[in-house]
Amino acid sequence: MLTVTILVVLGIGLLALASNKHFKLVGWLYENKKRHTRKVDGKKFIQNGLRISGWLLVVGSLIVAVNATPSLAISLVWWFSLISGAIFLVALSINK
Amino acid sequence: MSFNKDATLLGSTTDTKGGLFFRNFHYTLQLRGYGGRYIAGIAAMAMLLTLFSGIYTHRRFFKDFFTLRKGKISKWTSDLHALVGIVTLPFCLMICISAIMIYAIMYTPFSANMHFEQGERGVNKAIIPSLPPLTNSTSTAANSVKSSAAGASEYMLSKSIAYSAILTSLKAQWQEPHAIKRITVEAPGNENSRFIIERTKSLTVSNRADRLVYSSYTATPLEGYEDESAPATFRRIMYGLHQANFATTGLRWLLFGLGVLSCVLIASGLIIWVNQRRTNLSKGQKRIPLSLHIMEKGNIASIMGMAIATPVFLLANRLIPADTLNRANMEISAFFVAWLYCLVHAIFRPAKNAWFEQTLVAAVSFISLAVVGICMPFERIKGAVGTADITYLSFFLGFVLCGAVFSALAYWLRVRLSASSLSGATCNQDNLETKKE
Repeated sequence: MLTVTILVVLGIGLLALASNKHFKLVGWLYENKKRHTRKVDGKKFIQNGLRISGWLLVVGSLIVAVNATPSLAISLVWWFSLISGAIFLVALSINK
Repeated sequence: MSFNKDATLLGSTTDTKGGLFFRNFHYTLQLRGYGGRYIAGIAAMAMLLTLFSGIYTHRRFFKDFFTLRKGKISKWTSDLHALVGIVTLPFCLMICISAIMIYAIMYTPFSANMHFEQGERGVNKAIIPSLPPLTNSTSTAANSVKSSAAGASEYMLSKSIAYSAILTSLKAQWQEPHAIKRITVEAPGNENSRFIIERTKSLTVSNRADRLVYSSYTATPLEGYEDESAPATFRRIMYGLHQANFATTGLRWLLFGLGVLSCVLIASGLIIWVNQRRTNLSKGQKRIPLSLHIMEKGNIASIMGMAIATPVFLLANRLIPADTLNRANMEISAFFVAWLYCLVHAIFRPAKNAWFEQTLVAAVSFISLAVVGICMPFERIKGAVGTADITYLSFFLGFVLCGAVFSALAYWLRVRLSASSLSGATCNQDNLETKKE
């Protein structure tokens, strides 16, 4: 379950960074580094990349959770609870 | 008789309600037989409606749901309410729906009364499978008493072989550790006596685990329970999800956290509602209507009252001497008296002062619980540290954490209270000076 927890927190963290409000942070860093060579679609590309990676991690965590316990139903209860906890933790830490 | 996992007999002679009080109170409201479960059911249905209304109201929030705006407290509270609402949404839906499902037959008895003679009981009898009745049999215990010493030892030997054969058969079928949850013996001492052995619920979300039936005399497997119908199984799964008997310690803490967040959701919703009405009033109307007054005082009494009554109950549980007569009822009385005091205090004090004072009392109560946990008796916590008793220690840490959170909240409320009284005094002084001029 430790692996599932790490995957869920990372996945939700990436999705939070990819959200329109918090992507400013990533976009600002990107602009500083690539000030002279940036392209118009660069930001969109990174935002979509973050979004896709986030979803992949979240789906990966579900697969790991299903394989971790013998009962599918118990795995799902674990996974939903961890997702809820991760959303709350990420939302609190990203807004600090 | 109950045993722990090391097969040591568990038992307590202290007359106490303990944690069972909260379990019963949450769905009977201490009014079993007086409509308590109906009130709880109506509340669950109302909560389900508010959940759907919340989803509709905050539907746009899903687009950008990692937002907590800093600065104005009303905006922050509103964001927190929406965020916690989304976080706890699956949990709250599951709890509400399963709570209604558990007592579905009681809440809608019309069909059961129409089709079954005994109504709800008749439905349960029809859908819950039972074992075939025991046939008449001679008593082996009586025989063994009458028989000679050699006969008695033979009897003992055969019983011992029967137990080991049952255990071997069980181990082959249920391979997880500590697989046996409960053993029921029917007609002990008779030739037709049987063991009903219930499996642990750690592998199923249903509240009914597998059960096997053996003859305790010959160790042969007997005819067991029939499979339940699909609706009955669905109800059992909802029941199991509500009780979460399958959950390990980690999952229990996660679910507890979600439960606490659900309380934050309800409390923040109530506070936002009252504050919004107050803001709307101040534009034109000067006098606060009675309904808003009741809501405001009711919020303090219900939110902070519960936060005070809970530690008071646990303090009573620890401080009332073990040999006191009617001890369990005294614990319950302590809970309700503390809650009543909170209501009276909230009615007679201005709202802001009441919030601050009751938060302070809650902080003191939780800190007292932690102190009492250390002091009375000291050997208990020492033993818990020595044996790494996670359950006991986590309760202790929980009390410390609650005490710290309520202390921080009380300090914050105190600062706001002094700031508002200071600004109020400045306004009054300005008014006086204007009048003099």
